[in-house]
Amino acid sequence: MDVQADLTRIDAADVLELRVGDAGGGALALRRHGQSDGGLLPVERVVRAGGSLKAPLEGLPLDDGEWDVLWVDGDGRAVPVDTTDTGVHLSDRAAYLRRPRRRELRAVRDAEGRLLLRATTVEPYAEVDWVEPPSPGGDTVAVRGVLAYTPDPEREGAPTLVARQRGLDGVVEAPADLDGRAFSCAVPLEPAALLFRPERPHNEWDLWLRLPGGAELRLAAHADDIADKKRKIVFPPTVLTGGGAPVRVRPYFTAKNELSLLAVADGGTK
Amino acid sequence: MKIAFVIANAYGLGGTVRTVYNLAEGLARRHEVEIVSLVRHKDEPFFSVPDGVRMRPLHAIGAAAGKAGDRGGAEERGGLAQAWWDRRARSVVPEAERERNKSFTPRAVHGLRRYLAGTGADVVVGTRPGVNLLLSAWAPDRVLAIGQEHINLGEHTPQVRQAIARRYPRLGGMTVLTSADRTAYRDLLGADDGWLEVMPNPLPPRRLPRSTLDNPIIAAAGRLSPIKQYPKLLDAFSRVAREHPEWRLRIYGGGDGEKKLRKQIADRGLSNQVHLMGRTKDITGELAKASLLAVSSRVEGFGMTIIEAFSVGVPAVSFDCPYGPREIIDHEGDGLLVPDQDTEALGEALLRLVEDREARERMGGRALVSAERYALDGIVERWEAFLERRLAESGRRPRPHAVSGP
Repeated sequence: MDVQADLTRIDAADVLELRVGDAGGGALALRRHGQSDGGLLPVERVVRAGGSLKAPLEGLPLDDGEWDVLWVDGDGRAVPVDTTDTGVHLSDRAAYLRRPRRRELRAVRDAEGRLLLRATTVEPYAEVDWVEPPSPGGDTVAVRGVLAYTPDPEREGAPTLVARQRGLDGVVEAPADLDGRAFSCAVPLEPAALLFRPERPHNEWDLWLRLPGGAELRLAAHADDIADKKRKIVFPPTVLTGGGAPVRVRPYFTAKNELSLLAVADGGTK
Repeated sequence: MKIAFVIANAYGLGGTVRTVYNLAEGLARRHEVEIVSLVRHKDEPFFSVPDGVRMRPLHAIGAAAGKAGDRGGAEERGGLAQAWWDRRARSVVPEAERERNKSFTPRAVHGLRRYLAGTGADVVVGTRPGVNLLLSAWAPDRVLAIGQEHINLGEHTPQVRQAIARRYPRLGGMTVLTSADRTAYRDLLGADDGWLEVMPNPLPPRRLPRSTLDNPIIAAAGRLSPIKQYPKLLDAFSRVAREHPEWRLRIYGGGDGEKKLRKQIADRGLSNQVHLMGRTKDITGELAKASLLAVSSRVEGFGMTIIEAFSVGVPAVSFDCPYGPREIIDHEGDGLLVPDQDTEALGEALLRLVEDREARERMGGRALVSAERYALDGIVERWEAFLERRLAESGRRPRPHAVSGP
C-alpha cells in the first residue's frame, strides 16, 4: 500500500517522525537516491505511537547525499514514502544546532512528493541569527548567533572575533561575548578601510569566532532552508574614510552562506 | 478539435506563460494542442512544455538567434520585406503595445500571418492585446479566433483600448479572468455574455505539498515591478518585523526592480528579515513553507499566487484591490481583505494572523476547499463548452483531429 505522511520532521536526536495514519504492517528502509534496485538499509527500532512512526536514524551509515525513504510491506515490496510536508520546520533547528554532530540530516520533499533524507557532513560553526549594520556614525557591525554542532564551550576565558583578509595576510581581532551557547560580537570595519588594497577590486574579510579553548568556528547561516543567501539577503554598506580614499564596506553572505565583509572603493561596482 | 495558443514569448517566465501551459495541458487530453510563440529568446522554454503539446516558435531573437543562424544578416537581406511586415504590424498593433512587449518583430508578425494562412487549427487563442488584434485582423474565416485577457482592460493605454474597441468585435469570442473585467469589456464592446466569458486561471493537478503553518514565514510572489508595490509590503511587514523579529518575509520573483528593492529593504533596516528569493520553478513548494501569503498590489488582474497559496493550505492577506483578490478571497473565510492601499491595515491584518495560529489554521483549511474551484478539470470543461458554443454559433464545425495528450 502507498504510505503518505502529512508531517515529516527530524528532531535533535536524529529521530525521524512520520505522521502516516494507519500504515498497516511493514518496515522502514532507506536506499541511496537514484539506485532503483540497490541494497536496502533497514531502519531498526521504529516505534509506532498513535498515527506516527518514530525512526531513530542516528548511527546509520549514511553517506553524504540523498536517500529515498521506503516502506517495505509484508511481502517484501518496497515503495517510496510520499509526504505533503516540505520538511522545513524552522523552530526545530535551534535544538538541532545545540548537539555536537558531524552529520546533519534533513527531511526533504521532492517535486514528485516523495520523502528524501539529505545527509551532509558538517563541521561545528557559529550560526548567525542577526547582523546589525552600523548606526549612523558607527563603524562596527554587530553579529549575534549561537554555536552550532559543538560541545558546550569552556566556561573560562572569553571568545574572540577574528577577521581575516581573504588571500592576504591582514588579520583583525576583537573581543566577543558568550552566554551559554549564544555569542555576540562587534566586527570593527575601520581596519577593512585602513588595510584596503585598491589594486584588488574586491577586498573580502572572512569572519571566525575563536572559542576560549582555541577552536575556531566560521560565522555562517546554515540552519534554514535557503541554499544560496548571497543575493537573497542584502545588508547596507558603510562608507569609511579613515584610510584616505573612501572605502565602502558591507557584510554579506558568501556563495557558501558564510558571513564575510566586502570592501570596495567608494564608487566601485558593489 | 485542434486548438492553438499564440503567446508573445512562450519561452519566458511569467503568469501568462504558466497559465497557458496549464490550460494547454488540460485541453491536450482530449484535443490536439499547440503553442505558437511569436519569438523565442532561448533554446528551451523556462517551464516544461506539457506532454503532447507542440511548440512552434516563429522568430529566434537575442541569444537564441545566433544559434538559429538568423541574426542580423537575414534581417538585413530581407530588409524590404521586413519593413513591409513592420508597417503591417504597426497598422494593427498600437505603438504602446509594441513598446510594452518587444515580441512583435517583423519576422514574428510575418510568421504569424503565414501560420494563420496555413494552420489546420479549428481555434486560435490569442493571449495578449497585440496578438488578439492581429488575430482579429488576419485569422481566416475557417478559424475561430478567441482573445484572452490575462490582465484587465483598465491596465491598457487609451490607444490600446481604442484598438480593442475597434477590432475585438471581429473575434469569435473572448475570455476575461474576473467578473469585474467582464463588466468593463461589456461596457466597451457591448458584447453579450455568450461571446464574452469569465474564465479563471486553472490550477494543474499536481501532487501538492501542504503547509503545516508552523514556520514564521510570510510569502509574497510576483514580478518585482511597480504594480506589485513591494515597498508598501515592506512597510506593512515592518509592523510584524518589529513585534515578532523571528518572522521573515520571502519575496519570490525577478525583474528590473530588484536593485531598487534591495536598497529599500536595507534602508528600512529589514535586511535580516526580508529575503529576495528570486525566481522559482516550484512556487507551490515554496509557498508551502510559509504560513501566510501577502498581496500588496495596486491591481491584480487575477491573483494566481493567491489560488496557488490556497492550493497548499496557506491563507492570503491582500489589499482589496481591483480585480482578482476580492473575487477569490472570502474575507475572514480563507483570508483577509483590507481596505485598498491601506498599508497600515495590511500590517495589522498580517500581525493578527501572525499572532493567531488557530485562525491561520482555520483559514488554511478553508483555503484548500476554495482552491478546488480552480481545478484544471473543471476549467477545461468550461473551456470546451465555451469553444463548442462559439464554434456552433459561428457556423463552424471542428474537424476530427488526433489527441495531443498521453
